[in-house]
Amino acid sequence: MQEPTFLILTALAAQPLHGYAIIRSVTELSHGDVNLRPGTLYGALDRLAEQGLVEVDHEEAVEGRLRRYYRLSDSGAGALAAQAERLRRNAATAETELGRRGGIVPGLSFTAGAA
Amino acid sequence: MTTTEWPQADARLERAYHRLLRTYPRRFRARHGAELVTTLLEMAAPGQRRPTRADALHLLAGGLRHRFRLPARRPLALVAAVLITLIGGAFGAAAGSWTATQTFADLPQPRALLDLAGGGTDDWWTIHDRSPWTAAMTMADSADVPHWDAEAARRRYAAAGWDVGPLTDPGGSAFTTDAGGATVPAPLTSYRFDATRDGVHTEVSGHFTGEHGMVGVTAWAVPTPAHLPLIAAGAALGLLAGWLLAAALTYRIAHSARPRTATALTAAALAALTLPTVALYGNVMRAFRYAGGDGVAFTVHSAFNPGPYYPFGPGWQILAYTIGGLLLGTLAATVARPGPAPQPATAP
Repeated sequence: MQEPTFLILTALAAQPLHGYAIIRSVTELSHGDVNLRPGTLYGALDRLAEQGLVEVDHEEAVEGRLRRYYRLSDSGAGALAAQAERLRRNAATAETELGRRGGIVPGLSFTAGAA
Repeated sequence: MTTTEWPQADARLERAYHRLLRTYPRRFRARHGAELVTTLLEMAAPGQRRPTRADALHLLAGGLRHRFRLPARRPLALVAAVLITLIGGAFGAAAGSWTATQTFADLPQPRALLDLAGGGTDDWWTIHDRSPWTAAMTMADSADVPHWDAEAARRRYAAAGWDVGPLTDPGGSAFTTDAGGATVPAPLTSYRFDATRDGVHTEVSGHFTGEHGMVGVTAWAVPTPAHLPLIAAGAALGLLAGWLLAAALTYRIAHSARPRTATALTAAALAALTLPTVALYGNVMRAFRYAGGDGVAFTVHSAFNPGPYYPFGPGWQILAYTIGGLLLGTLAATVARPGPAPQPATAP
């Protein structure tokens, strides 16, 4: 699962959101690292809906404008949880390996050899 | 959320976004067009009248990328896409090959070539050969020619503006029956020369036993330099068109009301097109392998000519399978008309 997909699913984990709200949420969740463009977002939502990971919750339409709210499906929640677990495991492995490196590792929250 | 929060945007900006969305497949536009434009307008700067260059490029690239995309989690769609792409390449190469032969010279009347060779007698026959492997050749033979001066024939061709090659002896053998009825070798004299003019290559030959013999001419168009590049370009365009067609068709089937029928018809179409596709690729291979010689050009589209391309089945089978396969494919696309929308319809 690519990072934008992971962040889109994360943004929808708690509540249904429409496109622009998802874009803002992804920017916040990634601390400004990931700024989705609308084309990318709807391409990803189209794919995620095909895969059954997201569903349309409801729509608001006014004079040709449309906000469609998407929610995470049960299958999407399962995929997101599995990916979160994979990332947590990988992060832990990385920290363990860095701990064996010796010396001070910039940015690591503990010093090598402390274990 | 209330309507007061809806974006108020310049009509020109909105129209420009809708125009840019045309690079997306129709299915995607119908599904996401309105919400995508709404989001773009929500993100637009106050007073913005036209899309930023980055937005425009991003939408154009995104639309093109979508046209190449296959439905997710459908391995059969991938298999079909690969096959349709290959079929597209074969038919594209055939179209390129046909276009190339339009740049070839027209073949002269075979009787005129035979007369120029001095073999014009009342007893003659001609064949216009439309082989399933090569461009057309025209042949004429004259039987029972009493006397033939090959060197004089060669001079007449040269005088008529042909670029003539040397007189050679192509060899050969002839047999006759002796008084006892046994088959015995007969002395044979053979001549041959080649002549080229205005993009036409003619082979003139004569075979004589004693005072009688036969004179023949065979003519074909010299391939132009456009021949192989057009085959290659046709194949490349065909592969590209094949993938785009496959992407559109597989999405259409995936969202169709009758996906099983459409899938079965597509499978039947692919099966029918297998034999023509293999024949066309065989011809592509020959066109490149035997390029550069003096002989007649190997062409791709010639596989559609009725003939013994395959050592089995009727001579017209490649054309018949092609027509049948294309009809089945059209039927599959028709059957795969979009079904009822799975979710609420979008605004236009």
